[in-house]
Amino acid sequence: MNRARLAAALAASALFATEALASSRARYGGTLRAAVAGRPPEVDPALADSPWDATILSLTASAACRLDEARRIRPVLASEISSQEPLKLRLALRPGLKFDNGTALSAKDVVASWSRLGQPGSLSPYRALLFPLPGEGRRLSAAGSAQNLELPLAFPWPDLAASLCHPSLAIQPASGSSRRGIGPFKASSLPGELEANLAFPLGRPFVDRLTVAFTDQRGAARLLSLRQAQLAIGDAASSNAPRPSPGLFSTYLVFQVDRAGADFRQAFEATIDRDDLTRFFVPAPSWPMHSLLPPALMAQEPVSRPAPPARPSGRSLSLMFDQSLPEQRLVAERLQVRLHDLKYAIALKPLSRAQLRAAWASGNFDLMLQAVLLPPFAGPALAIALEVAGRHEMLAAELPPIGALPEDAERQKAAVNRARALLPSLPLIPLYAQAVGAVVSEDLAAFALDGQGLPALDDAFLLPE
Amino acid sequence: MSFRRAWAAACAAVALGPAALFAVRSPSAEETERSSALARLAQRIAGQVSAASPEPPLAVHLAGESTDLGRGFATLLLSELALRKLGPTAVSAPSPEAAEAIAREGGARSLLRLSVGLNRGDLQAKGDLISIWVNFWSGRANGRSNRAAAVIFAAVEADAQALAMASELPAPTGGIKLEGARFADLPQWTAAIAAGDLDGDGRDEVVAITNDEIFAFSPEGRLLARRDLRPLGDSATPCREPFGAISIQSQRIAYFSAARRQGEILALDVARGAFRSLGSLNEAPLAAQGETQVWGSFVPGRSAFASDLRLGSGEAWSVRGPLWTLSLFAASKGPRSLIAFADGTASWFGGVGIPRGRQFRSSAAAIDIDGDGEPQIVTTSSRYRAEPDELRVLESPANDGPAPAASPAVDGGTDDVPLQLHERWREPIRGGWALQVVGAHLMPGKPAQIVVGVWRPDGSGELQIFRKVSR
Repeated sequence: MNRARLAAALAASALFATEALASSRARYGGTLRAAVAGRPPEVDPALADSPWDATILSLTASAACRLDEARRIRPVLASEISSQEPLKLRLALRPGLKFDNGTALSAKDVVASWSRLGQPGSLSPYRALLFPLPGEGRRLSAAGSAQNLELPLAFPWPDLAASLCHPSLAIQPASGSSRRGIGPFKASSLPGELEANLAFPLGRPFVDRLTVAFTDQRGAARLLSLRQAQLAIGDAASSNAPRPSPGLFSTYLVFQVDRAGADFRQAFEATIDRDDLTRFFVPAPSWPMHSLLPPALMAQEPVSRPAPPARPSGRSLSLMFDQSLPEQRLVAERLQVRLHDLKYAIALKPLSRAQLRAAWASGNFDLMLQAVLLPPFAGPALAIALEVAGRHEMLAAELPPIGALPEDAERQKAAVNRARALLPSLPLIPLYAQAVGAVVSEDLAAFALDGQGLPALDDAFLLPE
Repeated sequence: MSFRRAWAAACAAVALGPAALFAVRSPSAEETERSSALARLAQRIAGQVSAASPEPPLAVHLAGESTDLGRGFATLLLSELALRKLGPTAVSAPSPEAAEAIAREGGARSLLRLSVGLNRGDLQAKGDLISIWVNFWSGRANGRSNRAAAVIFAAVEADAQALAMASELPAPTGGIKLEGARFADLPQWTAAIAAGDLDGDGRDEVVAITNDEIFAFSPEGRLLARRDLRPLGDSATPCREPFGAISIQSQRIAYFSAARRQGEILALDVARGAFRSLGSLNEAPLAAQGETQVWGSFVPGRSAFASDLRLGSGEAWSVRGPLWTLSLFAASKGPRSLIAFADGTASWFGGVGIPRGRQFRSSAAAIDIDGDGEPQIVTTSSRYRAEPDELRVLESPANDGPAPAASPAVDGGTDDVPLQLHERWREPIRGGWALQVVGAHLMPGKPAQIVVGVWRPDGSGELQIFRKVSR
């Protein structure tokens, strides 16, 4: 072919526009407007653990990895998470990543972020995710390399790599005043607006910008109907929402046996119907929990209703709950009324999530509603549930036999069996599990949930007007 | 077959479906997602009608673009309306205007008049809802009721079923038949594919890149070599989908993955089953044909090439926007180029263009499938994550001028009478979504075959090959 002729031909190429109604590739650009029925999340990932909080926080702070829709590990800030030996996990960070404050991501930031979960001032039930590590992540050293972490395990725990993808383990800078991590979005010059992070390792989000309006359910629905939002989070799923989200945000009633009495569980089971409690007081999507782990992780055990304790209690107890979760107030009030029939005088005590977790860590409470975002694997979920129950010491006995099983299905089965066996002995009563509800407008495409059941907003894109 | 007969069949279908009529249950989100375009459209229309609270019984007059489409939609719509207890009855009338009197005579209190058809990839239904009840005391005036009327409109993305039912065109003459088969499996989604003779045997090898690796396959689909791309470093601004470019010229492979910091030039050492690096690249090799090469750069963070291109001769070439693919073809009458732009439009060099409504997207390629020296346009579905995707072969515009000066640009989007491109073949692609298409001469002396890069839903990739077979 004559090169000059082709060059001339190409320069004069005739252009034939076709209608851009659809496309085989996702479309870039636009501003995604989201309405969230809730308050702005805490900056601490361990406290921003409701599904909607975790969704928002993960926009600007990723963990080392994330679980995709099929629950496969997808490295994000890490370039590689590999295990050559059962007792060693290697985490290599991607080079060249920088926080908003300009400092480069290093192994030191990873260690600092993880070790916060086990420190007395910020003790979190999610430290159970790191239990197989020395000192539950507090004795890790980043001295060897700025980019690589060798993680020695105290016992084989094949689910550790997946556990590192939990949103509570998001990486934040170890130093500096900003706690903002590295996510698909970063702060823009306008308040309340995020812009696409071009340097995000998985690729920038399809939308250019994202705005989040925090409101209540009615406000979110109104913004959606007025086309002032394309997405409402924290609302019941609509017909155009993606596949049902796994309900992993699990709420337990934790009690101190010496204060509530040995027959408290019997009193609860005699007077509280979890199905009704969930149906009437917890917004959908939600499921009653009769077992230690939610329906997404194990089949629920049928519960027989015992007779109420023979002798009325006469105890005065306080019930702490998370004031940022409206359904917890409703549930707490319902428990107060129902248990009053059995002569429990219950005083309600709303607390911030940080205060609630501090009270849980100190053990200074009578009754407490405690909600945690469980990982989608039974073994790590069991570890967190035991931690919530205040049975940290049981982890050393319970986890190694499960971790010794090489097959995923075997570990899943073993963890479920232990969850079934342990529940009656734990000072904790499972109540209900929740998932993130989302309503999506028709001009938002490819809205999907990740393996943790959280909306992956960086994968969504806007259709043309 | 008359539309009246089709309508009667639709009524019978409704009457024979009592289980569906009496089982009042809203479909779940999953069911709705899985349902066909016709079913989704019927649900939306029924929802709109129900929201307008028409007085039953409701007469429905429907005009369809084709008999099959009208009958299928009528069946589903009447079922949906019956579920909403609107007492639907079908009205057969020569026109929507005539339907009013016929429906009134039949005792209906409301009338829904709709037309259904395809429009630019959407399945649409539009019309109105009116009350036709007449007060006995109004005498002969026969005036309209004072109840509110409503305009009804809904559209959903058409699917293969709707396309099949809408099409009543005779089978194309001069059509071809292709047979598809799996060619090779890949661990990840493909970022780009290309074909070219790497060992001088006169047959093309197929080369594919993913975000992390490059692969070379023999004409039979046997893996010849693979190489890890990660040592090339991570791109500072990677894009979310696998994307890249490969060109093969003089037995050398030039490639650049958007996930990597730089590209590379390789040669295939067949004896050792390995690639040999000949150097690195800072530009993306968009296409090569004969002695001509076209180079470009990535739009940072996006799966697209920037509009400023460079020819191998050094000349600059600016196209009208970021693009997905550039396909070159040396035809007997002169060079041909096909560009798929990132805004969803496409360009074809020649005197006649792609008519309005024809959509081909990222995986369009110019390939001579029948060996006549002129390329056909091979495209996949224009829909995002189409289920199933499809491969179509369109005849390229027949009136191409031999040289650019003799064939001035014609904008198909503003052309009053756009020419219909002749579709020669269309079949579903199984297993995933097709994002790349190239031509490959895998058999000596035979026309080119089509190699398609398919993204499987589980994150792995597949190369499929389509060959022309006798009819």
